[in-house]
Amino acid sequence: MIRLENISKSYGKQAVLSGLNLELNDGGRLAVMGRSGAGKTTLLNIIMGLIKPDSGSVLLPEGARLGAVFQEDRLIEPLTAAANCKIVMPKGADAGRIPETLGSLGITPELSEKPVSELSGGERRRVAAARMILSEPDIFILDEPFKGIDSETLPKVTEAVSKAAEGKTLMLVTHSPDEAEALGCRVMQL
Amino acid sequence: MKASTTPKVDNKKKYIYKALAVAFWIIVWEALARAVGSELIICSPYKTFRRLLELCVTPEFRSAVAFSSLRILSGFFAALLSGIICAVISSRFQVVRILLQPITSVIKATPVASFIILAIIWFGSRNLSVFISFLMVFPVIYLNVLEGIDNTDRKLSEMAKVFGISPLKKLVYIYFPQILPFLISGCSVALGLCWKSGIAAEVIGISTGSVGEMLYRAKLYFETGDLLAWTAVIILASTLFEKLFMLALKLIKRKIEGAGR
Repeated sequence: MIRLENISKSYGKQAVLSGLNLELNDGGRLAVMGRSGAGKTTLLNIIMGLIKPDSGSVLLPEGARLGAVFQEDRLIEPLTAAANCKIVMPKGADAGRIPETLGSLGITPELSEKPVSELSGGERRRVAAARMILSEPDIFILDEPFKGIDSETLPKVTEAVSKAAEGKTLMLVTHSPDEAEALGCRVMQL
Repeated sequence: MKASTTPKVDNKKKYIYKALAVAFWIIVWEALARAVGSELIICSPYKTFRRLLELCVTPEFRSAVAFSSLRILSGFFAALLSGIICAVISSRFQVVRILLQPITSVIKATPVASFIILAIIWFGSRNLSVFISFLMVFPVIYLNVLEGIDNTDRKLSEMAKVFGISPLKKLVYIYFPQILPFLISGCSVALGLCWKSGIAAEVIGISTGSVGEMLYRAKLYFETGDLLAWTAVIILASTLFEKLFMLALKLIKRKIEGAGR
């Protein structure tokens, strides 16, 4: 379960989150929507432990593994797509899943052996999604994960993410109600 | 798409141009030697090369090259290791960075001859080139690696934290590829420096059995041929080691980049 109690965060004089309470049960899926600057990414960063809230507390299940598609790709540029995925995999995980997972997201074996710096924007987003899936997280964090992915490939990607997150907790930040629906999320407006 | 109008020089042509440039300067050297007409002032390339071949087969040559290489490269590797370690510590602890700042500035600004004379007083001449080579290489490696660390992408560190990537993997796959270009550039400068300063130390300190001592003797007896032949040996040793070291770094880089294969 993810539990946020009375979370507040300000940047300078601008309050972004103020006294936010949130509870998401294990296996729950929540899409956070709202205007730009409403604090959606800040909220995810607080959950991931990347930003400290000014006040309030975050409670995550003990030992829970997090996996994320960040707002930016955050891929290691000189490394291949396959290598980017491999380094986040849990110890003892089957490396044979890398081509399978990348393939399910439309990344061919040729593309997966290229440095990610040579891939297109949409391909990089799909590699970032594959990386999150292959890290086998208990909690999936997705911050506008599908931007730049063409409409033809999008259903394939949402399906792969949704399948990987079965029975797991998922939090999505998006501007698209369709994406929230495709991942079966209940929606919270911020 | 419009084709590029820049002349494309392929690798083969590049090597030919390089060889032609070298040949040109050897001809200029030969012409100069003939014009001067005195071996004492300038020895011809042919005679220098012949002297080099004569020297190569002597046991004295092998032991002098081994003596100097061992010491200069020991200094280089000690500085490489400590430069990297100090840069990592400085990147984490501001106080260490502040403490090391004046040291590196002083080392960079002080003439190498001053250090050589001081080192002779402190340590004697036998292992002088180890210390001098270390001293010249350390600030270059330290400052380059520190700049590399300062330029690492904070967002990648955050990514590693979220995914729980182990410290070793972080070091190898996240930090090393980002720091490597800075390390390569530092090593490229430092490798030339360590040979030049190390040999200079051996000449001034007259380290027995070293290449520097051979140079000193050549100067003492006005053996210009020997002087140029030993200089060629230093250039060859320095270039060979630089090429091998850079190749090793590039192989490591390639191995890391293809880690998923």
